[in-house]
Amino acid sequence: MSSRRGKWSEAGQSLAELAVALPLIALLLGSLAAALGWGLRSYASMLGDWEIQNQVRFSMERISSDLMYAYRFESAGGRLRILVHDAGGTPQWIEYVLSNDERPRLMRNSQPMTGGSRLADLAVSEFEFRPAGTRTLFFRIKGENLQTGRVFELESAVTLANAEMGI
Amino acid sequence: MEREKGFALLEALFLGAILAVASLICLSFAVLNEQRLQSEAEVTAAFLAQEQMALAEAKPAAYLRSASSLPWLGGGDNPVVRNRVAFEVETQVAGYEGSAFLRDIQVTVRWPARGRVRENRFHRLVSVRE
Repeated sequence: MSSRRGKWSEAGQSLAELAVALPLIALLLGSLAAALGWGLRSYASMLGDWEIQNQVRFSMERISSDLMYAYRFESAGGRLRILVHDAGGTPQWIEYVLSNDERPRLMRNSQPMTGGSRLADLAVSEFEFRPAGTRTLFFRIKGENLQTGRVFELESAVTLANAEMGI
Repeated sequence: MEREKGFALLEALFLGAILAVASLICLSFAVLNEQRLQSEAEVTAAFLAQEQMALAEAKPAAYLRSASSLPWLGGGDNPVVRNRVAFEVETQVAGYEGSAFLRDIQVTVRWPARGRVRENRFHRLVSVRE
């Protein structure tokens, strides 16, 4: 008899525990889900900020690379034009310009160099270039992750090694 | 009594595991973010050094032959503030043993990072032949 009472007593106690524990578990899991959601959003934002850094860096490196083998550069109407020779020795102009899109991209010969990321809403807000001497070009790219407002900019300059040779 | 103790231990383990996972997630975010900021600073420093070298290279040969150090040639103040970090650019110009027509340009870029000063050095040989 006493063991049965004890059994019932245990069952009642478990129910009471469950009644208290369930809201606590719900609260705990809810908080955990909220924290996880916040964490995932933060992680995505961080990857987006990393993406803008990579896109600005790759664009800068590409311009630097083009300029290192260039014979001449020109700027006209917001366009940077770089004259290089292709593998066959044929002169070829490479043109960089900022597109007129809602989210401007840096274009190289009509091909986009930036944008198109699933991680971030990216835009190149500034593309500046100006001669710094007879054979030196200063250039700067400023990109922005519109989701986080994070801005990243790089600037550099290249002195043309082949400028004297002409074409 | 014995069972209650066991149950409490299970609860503690469960809670501990949740807290450990949450802490690890937060820590990994902090570490990743720190790496991103460090990467940003290093990339910015490298491009500033490249700019300084290109501008130095564009200087007249006679100027480079006589100079032992160069100011920041990019315009504006030094330290150079870019991407919310103050970069100090120092440039030394020295002779090169292999040739009288070459000068060794060394650009050192320093910036503060987590209470310490980080620095990266970049070298380039520049011809000073007229």
